[in-house]
Amino acid sequence: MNWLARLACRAPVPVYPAIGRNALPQIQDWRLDARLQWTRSPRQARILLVAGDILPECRPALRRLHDQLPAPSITLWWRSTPLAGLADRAVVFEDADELGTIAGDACRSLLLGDRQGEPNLCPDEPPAPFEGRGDHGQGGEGMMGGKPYGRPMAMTAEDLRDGLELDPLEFSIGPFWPVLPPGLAARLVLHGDVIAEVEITSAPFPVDLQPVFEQALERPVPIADLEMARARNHLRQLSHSMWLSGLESASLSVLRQVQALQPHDSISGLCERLRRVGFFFSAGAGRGEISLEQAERLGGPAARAAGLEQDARTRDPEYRKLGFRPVGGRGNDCRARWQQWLDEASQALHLAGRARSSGAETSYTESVEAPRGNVQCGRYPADASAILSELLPGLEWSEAMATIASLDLAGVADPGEGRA
Amino acid sequence: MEASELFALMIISTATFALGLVLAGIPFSSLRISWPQRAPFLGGGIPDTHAWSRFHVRYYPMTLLLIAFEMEMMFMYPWAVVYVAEGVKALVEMGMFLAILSIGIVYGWREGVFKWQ
Repeated sequence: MNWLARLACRAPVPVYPAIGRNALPQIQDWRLDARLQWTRSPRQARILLVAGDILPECRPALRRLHDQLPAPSITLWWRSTPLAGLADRAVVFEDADELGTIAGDACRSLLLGDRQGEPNLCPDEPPAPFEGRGDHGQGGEGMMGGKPYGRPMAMTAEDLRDGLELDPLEFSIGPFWPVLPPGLAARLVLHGDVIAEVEITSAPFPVDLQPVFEQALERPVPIADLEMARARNHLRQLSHSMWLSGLESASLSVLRQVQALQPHDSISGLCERLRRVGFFFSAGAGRGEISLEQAERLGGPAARAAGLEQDARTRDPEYRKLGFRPVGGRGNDCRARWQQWLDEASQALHLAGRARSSGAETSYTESVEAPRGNVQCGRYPADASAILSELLPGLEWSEAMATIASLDLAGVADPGEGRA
Repeated sequence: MEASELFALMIISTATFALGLVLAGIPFSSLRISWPQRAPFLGGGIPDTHAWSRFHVRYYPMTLLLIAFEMEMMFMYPWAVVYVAEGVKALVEMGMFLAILSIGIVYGWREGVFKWQ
């Protein structure tokens, strides 16, 4: 089997990411590395990459995830503290550029047998013993046989659509599922593929405000820098939605564009490509309508798309001199919010170009319009994941995932709290 | 070829196939899947109930629509054979038949059958 292992060493390394705090942009940059292959499930992965700080309440979930990688496997830790059972053999690294090399070496040593895989962290026993119980050893008494594989059978409930008495499927998902925002975990009830109930059990990890927006609250900063950061953020959000819709190569090309983005760049090519591949008509594009009250709670691009004219930039005379007027009012569904990200990114690039040539700086420091929404000194956008429990019931699975991807839900971390 | 020869050939090929299956399984016989790995992958989450549940597949309207189209075609084959001989009378009769069937299709359309889920 040695020649087979050697052949496997040449293939891209299959990596599954467990994304922690503030690690999403870096994960997106790593997607461009040809030496790595990002799997959508830990079952196909050889390496678990834990990127960013993991909050203590999510550690049990990380232990479960760790054990779902087929043996032998290795965990790499980037800006993260290794779990208790793995501390002695943990591969910790700081420099993001090293991932390709480290992952390649780790995978090779694992395949060639130079290195042992990691031990399981959870007990290797069924969640509830069932084998050998009952009349036929099927796990329990009666026709249904109690608890097959240790999980109780579903009780019947009225279906949302027509009231038929059928079995709902109950489970909790997250916080390390790359489709959801990092840290978001929810308890879901499904009727077929329609979501009946959503209960958020863990809010997305709070995201740190980018330094340039933080500085804009203290002193004037170049408008070009501010707008470039905004354009990058919006395009990154959009690339995630595209990845979710199955437009993998288009999403990678957006990320490539983000890395080389310059003021005055045009994204009309991207708009055209998205129209051509039917992104604005993908599953869920016309769903996920938010009310005005929800738009108010979300703030930022989602609120502007829904027609609320909330933009701190309108109060800045320097922005007015550049001819800034907020765009928006396209609607309250996913399509409108995607379009809003595109429009705002294109506007930000245009503003950045004009500000770069005139050297304009912000003059208003009371509040700043961050990509997520309005930030004032001491008042940061709060986590908005609670609206999912109102928004998702009644949507099909694909529509619900598109809706989540079209919203920027994570709260912005208050830097004062960290220092205190 | 005699029937007995065919029979012997069948036995041999079946035995070879079965032996092949057994041999192919040997490299994987030492592979043991741990209990945590058997759990469905939910990004760190866990299932509350067994996935062995009944849900409505909801393709019945689509099935009825298929029958509506199929009936059209089924009666149109014999009709096409006699059409030249019968002439306009056959054309009118088929028009009436299609009109009645298309009421079903229009009804299905109103009920959202054509929306792919």
